[in-house]
Amino acid sequence: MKTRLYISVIFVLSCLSVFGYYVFSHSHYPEKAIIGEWKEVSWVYDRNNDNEKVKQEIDEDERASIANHLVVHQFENWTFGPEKKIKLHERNGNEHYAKWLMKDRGRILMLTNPDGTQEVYSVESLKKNELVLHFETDVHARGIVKITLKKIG
Amino acid sequence: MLRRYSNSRSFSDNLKLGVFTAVIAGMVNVASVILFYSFTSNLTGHFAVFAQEIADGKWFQMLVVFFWIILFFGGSFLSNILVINSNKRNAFLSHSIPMVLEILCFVGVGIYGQFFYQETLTETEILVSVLLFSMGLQNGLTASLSNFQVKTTHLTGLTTDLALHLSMLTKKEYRENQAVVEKTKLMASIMFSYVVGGVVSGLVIHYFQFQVFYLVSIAMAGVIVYDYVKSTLSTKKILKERVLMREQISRLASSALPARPNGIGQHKRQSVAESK
Repeated sequence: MKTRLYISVIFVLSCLSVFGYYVFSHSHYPEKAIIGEWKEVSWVYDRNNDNEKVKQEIDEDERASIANHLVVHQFENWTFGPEKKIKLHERNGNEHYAKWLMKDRGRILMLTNPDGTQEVYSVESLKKNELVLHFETDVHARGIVKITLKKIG
Repeated sequence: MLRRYSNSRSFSDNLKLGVFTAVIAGMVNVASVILFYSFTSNLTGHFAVFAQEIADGKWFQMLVVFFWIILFFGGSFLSNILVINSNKRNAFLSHSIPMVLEILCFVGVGIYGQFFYQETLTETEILVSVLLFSMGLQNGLTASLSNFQVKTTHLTGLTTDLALHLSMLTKKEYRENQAVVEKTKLMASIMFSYVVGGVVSGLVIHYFQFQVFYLVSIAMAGVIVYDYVKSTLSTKKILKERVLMREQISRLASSALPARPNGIGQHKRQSVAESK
């Protein structure tokens, strides 16, 4: 009886270990998939105004007013490096470096600026060529802002 | 607190166990939310995410959540196996093994987090797995020891039960029912302790970071030692009282029996031996 119990325990532990190894050997996928250069395609509110059927693009001025606490509103291109460094840049040469981290199985993207401030974005979707980020604004009636980026390199 | 099992437990035993483990669960859950952005003391959210990942077709993400659920399940399973296979002689040892394993999990997470953690997703997911296993151990132990009276790692069911019990207390007949009153006190204490644990963890984690798991481990080790010493002392006391009682009974018996004439008893014993 005891031998059977020990064999069962060893079998269950072995299965769990193999399963765990398999799962965790693939769990870094979001960290791999995000590496590369991404270009902002759109900034839209998650909720429309009553009279709008198509989601309206948030213009430059509005971006500055709703996201002035975030560095990302100033840049169009995001380059995620493998060493957890991100370069935010524009064609005119304006650059900003920060540290990036993913949390909660890749559902949260955290940027840590050189001055220690942190910005947290929710990763709504991460596909081969498309990254959709959400962040909450103070404009509660309009809710969340959705940033869509396309991979360019 | 740990030695007694099921119906032999008093309200005080369950209250102490509930309050202490709820503080631990609250501390661990808040610490894991701050450090890993993930809950580790409750599974309802993970089940919802599990279903969502299946619906979205994110199979590896789904497997990670499924593995977490299995580990919580495994922790509870292991705790109960140890409790139901214990006997009176090894009760304390069997009941404290899940807590010792929990301490090892916390110390492991603390050491890894303090010295090796690079904040990668894989590391985070493994550390969350370890914490979920430890919370499974704790929930299984408390539920098993207390005959399902005490569950401290999640508050959904407890909040519902507390609401039901409080509504029952609006009637006089239930207010006079000691079992209902005690259960209400127990649940309210667990809820309060969980929140206190969470607040303490939220306040100290910015200074201690991963070292908060050492604090939890030290508190747990302290409780095991305290419970061992207390139960050993009370066992010694009971044994001493039993010896004294036996002596008293034998003294009373010898003074109450009439004196026998010499040789009668001896003769009887001899005749019985001869007949055999």
